[in-house]
Amino acid sequence: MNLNKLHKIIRVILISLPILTLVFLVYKNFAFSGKLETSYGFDKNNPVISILKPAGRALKVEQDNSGDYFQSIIIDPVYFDLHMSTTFKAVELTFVYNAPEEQKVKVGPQLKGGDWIYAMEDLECSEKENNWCVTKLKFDLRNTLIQERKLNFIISSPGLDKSDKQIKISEIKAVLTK
Amino acid sequence: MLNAEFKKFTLDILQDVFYISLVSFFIFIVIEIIRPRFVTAYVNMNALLIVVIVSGIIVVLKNNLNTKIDI
Repeated sequence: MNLNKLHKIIRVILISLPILTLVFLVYKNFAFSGKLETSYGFDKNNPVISILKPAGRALKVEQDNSGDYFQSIIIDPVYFDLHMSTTFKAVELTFVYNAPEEQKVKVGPQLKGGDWIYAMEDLECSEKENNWCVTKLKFDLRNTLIQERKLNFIISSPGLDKSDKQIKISEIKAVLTK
Repeated sequence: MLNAEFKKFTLDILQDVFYISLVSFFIFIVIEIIRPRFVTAYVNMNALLIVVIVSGIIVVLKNNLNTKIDI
């Protein structure tokens, strides 16, 4: 093949790469399919779900013997953010976690109308998968407080620090729907 | 002859890589300023910056070398 022709082909490929990236970014950020699914396994940063914070209440990400990454909560409450690239009406969160049996755990998004109002729901172990509890929770997002495209979620477990036990979260899956 | 032609071809490609990655980098930065996390949530801007810098250095050095030879 002529080098000039090859150069033109490579140039077209090089120009189309950023254009395709831009198309991909628009598709991902505006969720044209009406649904945005993501899963945060604590092994690498997730574009939608943040790490559990603040540090000190939630420990650093660790890895267990079976290779699962997890983050431990030692003092309640802890928070995480959902990055909302566009407007969504509802979210279904799936938590893969381990909590002491006697310890109540509640999760919920921050609501409009005040700094510390959260719509909390009980996180009860509904099924077990490889020694981890799996629980799905659905939240209506129409009355939630979204600041700088972030929706804050609380994980609360009163008395956790006094019990000397930990809640381990191994995975958070989010299915956002428009 | 063929070797010189191939060197020129490689340099032209690197020059394209430099210009296209530089323009893309600035477009992505502008989008990121207007709408934070739009790009960085999915694209590693550090990697793109490395491509810009490395290709830029090679292109500038090669161009300087060619200019000296021409003189």
